[in-house]
Amino acid sequence: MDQLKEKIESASSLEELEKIRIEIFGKKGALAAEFAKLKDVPGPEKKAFAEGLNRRKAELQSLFDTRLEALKEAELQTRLRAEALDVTMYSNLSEKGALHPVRETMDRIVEYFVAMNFAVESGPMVEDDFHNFEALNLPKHHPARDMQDTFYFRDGMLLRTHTSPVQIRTMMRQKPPIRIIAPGAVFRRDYDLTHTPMFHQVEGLVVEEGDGVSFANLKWILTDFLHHMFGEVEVRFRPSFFPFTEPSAEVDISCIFCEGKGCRVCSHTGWLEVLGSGVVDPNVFKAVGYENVSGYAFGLGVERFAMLLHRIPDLRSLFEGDIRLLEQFR
Amino acid sequence: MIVTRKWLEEFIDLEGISDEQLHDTFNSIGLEVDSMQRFQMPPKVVVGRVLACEKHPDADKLNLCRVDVGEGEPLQIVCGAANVREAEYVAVATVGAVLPGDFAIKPAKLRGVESFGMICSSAELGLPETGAGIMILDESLGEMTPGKPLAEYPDFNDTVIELELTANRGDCLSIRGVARDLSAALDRELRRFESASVETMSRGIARIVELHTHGRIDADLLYTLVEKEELHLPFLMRLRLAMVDTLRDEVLASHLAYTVHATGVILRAYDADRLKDEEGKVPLEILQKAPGLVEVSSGGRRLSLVGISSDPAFAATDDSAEILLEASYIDPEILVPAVAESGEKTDELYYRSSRGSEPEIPLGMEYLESRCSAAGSCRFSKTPLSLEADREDRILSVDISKLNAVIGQEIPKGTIHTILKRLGFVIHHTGAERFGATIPRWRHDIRNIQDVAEEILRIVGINQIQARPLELTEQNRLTESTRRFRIRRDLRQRAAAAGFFEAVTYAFADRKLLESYGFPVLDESRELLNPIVEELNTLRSTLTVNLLEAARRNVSYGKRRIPLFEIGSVFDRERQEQERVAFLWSGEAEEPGVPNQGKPPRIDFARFVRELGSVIGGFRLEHCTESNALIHPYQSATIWIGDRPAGWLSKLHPKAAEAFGLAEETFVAELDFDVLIPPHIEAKPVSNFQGTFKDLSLLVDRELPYRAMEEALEKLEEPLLRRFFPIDRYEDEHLGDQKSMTLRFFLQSGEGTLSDEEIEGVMQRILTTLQEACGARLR
Repeated sequence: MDQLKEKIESASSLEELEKIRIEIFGKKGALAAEFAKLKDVPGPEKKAFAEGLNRRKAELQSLFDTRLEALKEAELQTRLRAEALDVTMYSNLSEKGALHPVRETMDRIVEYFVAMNFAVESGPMVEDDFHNFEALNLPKHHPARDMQDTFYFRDGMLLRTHTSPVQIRTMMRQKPPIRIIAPGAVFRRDYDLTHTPMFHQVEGLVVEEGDGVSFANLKWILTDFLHHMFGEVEVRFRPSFFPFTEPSAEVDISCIFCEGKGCRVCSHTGWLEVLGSGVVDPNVFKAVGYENVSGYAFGLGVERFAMLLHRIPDLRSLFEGDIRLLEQFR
Repeated sequence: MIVTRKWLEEFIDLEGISDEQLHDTFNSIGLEVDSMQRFQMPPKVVVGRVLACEKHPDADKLNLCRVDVGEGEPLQIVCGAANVREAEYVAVATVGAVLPGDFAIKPAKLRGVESFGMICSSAELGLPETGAGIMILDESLGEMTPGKPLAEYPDFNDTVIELELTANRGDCLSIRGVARDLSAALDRELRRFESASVETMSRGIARIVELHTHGRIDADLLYTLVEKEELHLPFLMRLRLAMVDTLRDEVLASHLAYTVHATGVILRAYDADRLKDEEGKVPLEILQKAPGLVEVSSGGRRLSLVGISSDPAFAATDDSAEILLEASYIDPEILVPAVAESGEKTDELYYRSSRGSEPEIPLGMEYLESRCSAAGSCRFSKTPLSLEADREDRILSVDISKLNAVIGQEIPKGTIHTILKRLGFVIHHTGAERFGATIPRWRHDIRNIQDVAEEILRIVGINQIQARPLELTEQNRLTESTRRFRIRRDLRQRAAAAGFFEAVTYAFADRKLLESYGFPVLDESRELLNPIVEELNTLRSTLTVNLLEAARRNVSYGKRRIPLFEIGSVFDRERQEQERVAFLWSGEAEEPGVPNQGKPPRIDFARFVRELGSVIGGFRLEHCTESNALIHPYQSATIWIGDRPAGWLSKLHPKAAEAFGLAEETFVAELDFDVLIPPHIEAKPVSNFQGTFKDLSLLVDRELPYRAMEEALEKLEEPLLRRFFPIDRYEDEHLGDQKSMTLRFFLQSGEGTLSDEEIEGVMQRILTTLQEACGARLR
């Protein structure tokens, strides 16, 4: 009996244990042989003998089960160990691409205004004189219409020089109230280190009936927006001039590079110009046939925002599909 | 527009206003400061008087000067300037002075002669160029006292401020105009300039100049005759002109430029002797050729077009003895369209007249007379000849509540009145809520109440306005464009997740390049008129060529795996805009690493299609109907989404790959964005009964596309056939002209588990269909 116990306990593999199982518990095994003796045991002792036998069988069975469990666990551990990998070799296997920083910045800008209940609008890139200039109070011969700045086509059409024509198209299509944001590509005939012939703008327009919309409202939303984009910067409004707004203002933020102390990026002024804005000029409303309304409008250059936010040094590199730049935005 | 602080002080008191305050005031009233530079004369640079000046014994170009610098013995200084003269006042950097650029003045020996200091040019003192050679100083700066430090002459320590004016502010294109705006911002009086007493001519101008005019004239003109004996340019004027970058070579031209810059009045000077007729008279004819085109001529010769240009042949020079001076004004609102329509050439003064020059023209004439009188010997005709255009004052009715509504804040009526008066408005019949205001002539840009609101806002200061959120009208603003924006953004994010980098390229293309690859180009009549460079001379009709260019650049940057995509507009022959999405994958399919032992597989058709599918979802590939020279004839397809063709994909044609310097394994696809907008989906009931997969291997003609089998099976409309797809294709010489195709079928019923007989029946129908439609037979 003790010999059998020892055998079970010393089994070192599942195969060995299986052999032992047959040896002990099999039809021709040791236990079967013992039970066979039962028929020769005299009547009065039979019961005690059987009980003893069963007890020993149970003991062996329990011992066997324990050993089986232990060997199975050991074998699992061995198998797992065999699967071991140096996981640290697999860092950086991500092959995700990336969104373009200008488009991603545009998304962020649009998201803010959508959250502020603005609708997204769009318009064609090939525009006519009326939508791009005339209706925006840029009469013929205005300096801003200089042939140098605008791409014209042979049939008199032009490439939009700003996203402002979307204002006109929207107002001519629907009645106030209007609350739109218009992101898109615009074109100017300028090509040097700091100008590309195509770039992106986001235009905003709000119109309500009556006298409700004021410069103070414009100041509120642009300040909030710039805080959303750039964090806790100072926001400064400077009076300026745009033909389609009156009063007009340019909006600066305190330089995010030097915190207003003055550096190369802000030309040592401590301020970065980021937005143009104003109360919609009555002539614009007249051009689209609106009466007794008030509104504000603003526009910004997306490349400038992207370059400031991500500290991208070179404007032209944004249009070259340069993976060395793009892969940084994964 | 460049101004200097001292020059501004001629017109307004700036006492107690620091340069920094001035800078901030300019910015806050909308005269943006571009740059500000303060000049400061270094110590030990003093006024000197040249007592004697002779040639250096051993150097032709050097002069040996004895210079009185006040106390002590005169200094011996060697000076190389050609303009050094005896008796002149000069700036002397004495020993111990440190000039800009850390240039310390020490005793020196020049060609064997000792020199104790340096006679300075303006540049050596860090000032703008006031002319060739050394500075010749004079009493225009104040009394010349040898030995007095230059730093004690206020005009040397001036601050130069460059303002970036907006196009509407022609009224600020002069020192006085800027001072006028400051007078409103600082609430200080504008100074009337002091007119010096002027020596007058004995003869009246009318005895020499005969003015003829008829009909309507849109310009104001003023003429004065000058007899000039001598005229020089005082150093102060020379210095200021240099500071504002307007110094001319000629004395008279510099005088004119000085007055124009100071007052904003357009001035021209003609040589009267060249205009005189046989009787010694100057006939002047003023004729309006068209609205805004006022011609000044003399004896049939055109002298000038008012505000536009003048003929240099008749312009007065420093040699002219008798000069006819002309001051003029013409309303830019009339002038600018006239110039644009007539195509007349313009000169440099047009920049001013087109933005609105100063309409108070007598002021310019008086300023010029006063400056010339102080700078030589000139006699002026007593009363000028003048001509005035017909005009009416522009009066605006200002509703105070409307004004405040635009600003969004209550501005007191008194404040409004004060600001407008300082800006030159005349206020009339004031009521409680409304008043009339005459707009000053120099503010042609002010037309309506919002323009007035802007004036109030900029002078009050935007900082003083409390920001307030808008109470807006509730409205659903989830427009079609908003939805499209979101779909576009989702698509882009999926593309990035699938490994593509987003490119943004110009909407332009090279017309020749597009044509050479067989892409459509704009109809000639709709082509770009003024492209910026040859390579961007048309609008693109495809995104793919731009992506190939981008890929080419990436190859040159050493990139071996180039997955790119772009969403953007393309234009057809009729220049109709269409939004497209293009994908490109060139070279390696993966980054090198452990999984591929550093030898990444190359991108191939199957992999490119799979990456594309993970961006745009399911699609079907059919025989390629697109034809352009980028397409590989045997590895290209038209992409179908639902029942619409969505675009094409192809391995890049090897010739194109070579032309763009790309790997042979380059794949491209271009799709219409509209087709990618997800359709509305209605769910079908899901069957809970067990389905079954069955494979079928068939022999078909080797050239038979799989699509033919697919179409035949679609036509069968077998309800139990839920799905089928090819899983293998096999060819060898034993099969001859045939190939083996293995298809997998998924059969399922919505009503119960399929019986063997049902399955057998469906498979038989499938086989029969393929036999009949495609000549297929069981393998």
